[in-house]
Amino acid sequence: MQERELIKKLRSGDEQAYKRLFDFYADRIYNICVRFLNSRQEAEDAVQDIFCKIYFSIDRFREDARLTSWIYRISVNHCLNAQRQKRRARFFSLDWLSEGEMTLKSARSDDPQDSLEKKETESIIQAAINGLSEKQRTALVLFRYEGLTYQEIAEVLNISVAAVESRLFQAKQELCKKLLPLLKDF
Amino acid sequence: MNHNKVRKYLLIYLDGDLDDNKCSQMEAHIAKCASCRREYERLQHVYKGPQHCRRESAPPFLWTRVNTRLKSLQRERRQGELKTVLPILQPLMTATLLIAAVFCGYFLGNTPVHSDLQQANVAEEVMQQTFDIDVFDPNPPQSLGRAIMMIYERPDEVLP
Repeated sequence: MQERELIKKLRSGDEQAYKRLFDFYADRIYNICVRFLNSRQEAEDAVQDIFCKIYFSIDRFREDARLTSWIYRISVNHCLNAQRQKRRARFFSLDWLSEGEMTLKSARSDDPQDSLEKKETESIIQAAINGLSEKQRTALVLFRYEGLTYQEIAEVLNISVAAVESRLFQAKQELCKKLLPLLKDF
Repeated sequence: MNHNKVRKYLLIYLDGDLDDNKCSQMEAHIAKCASCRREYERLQHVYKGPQHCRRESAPPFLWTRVNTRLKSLQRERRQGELKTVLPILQPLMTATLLIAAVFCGYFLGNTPVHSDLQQANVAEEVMQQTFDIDVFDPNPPQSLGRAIMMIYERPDEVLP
């Protein structure tokens, strides 16, 4: 189905079109949410919120942008807000006194043989990514886990391609700096 | 290129984002420096490019949850709309009723009232002209009252 046709149907409240949109984007949005929030449970809640936001604000979508970029932007903004709220809640609940850095809990894998190593390396990278600044982390998650091109990231974050390049360059430098000490015992 | 610079650019080199000049400098350094090579290999083992990253897939039944949430939000929104309209509507209705009551009172107060006598004269005139009846005559001709009166007043003329 053409994007325009899909948007038209979404605006008229067509439930089939909405289901199609969900089928197409659910995995991508869930993936982003897991990477940002480091928790599958929270990611599930976030996905629900994001799809409700999409449903209620589809009328405000300007058709000069791509639907994919718009959906990614909503998802990233939602995750960043959720993360800030979570950080604030953790600060006031004093959890940060007892907890270390957030890492992705309970990685799922169909193959038990490689799951342990994958889990370990993923959690090391995730921990290092969590230590990056918000801007760098956003660009890196979209690039690394979503496989978006620089142009697509620029559209999602509403910045220039040069700015994306710069953010990713700095993010990778920073990530490298954080990863190397963590890999000493690896 | 020194060690620090090489280590700084390792990830960028791994992603293939370095320009040709820097890339060849990196390759040359990694080839001759054992410690940088070790760092590079460790990093290469852990950090693979975007194409190798494991993607998380949404759990089953997520659509059911999203749909349920959406329906309940739609319901809440409809109720919310009513709740926002009611506090505006209530005082509006009260004000309208109050204004209507004041207007009715003012209208009734300003309407001229005819006296009974005037009304009676008009009625008498109309009845007289239209039906030839004197409405103030208690015993009009051809009535039983007039017949009884005649019997009392002039019995000799009326009674045989």
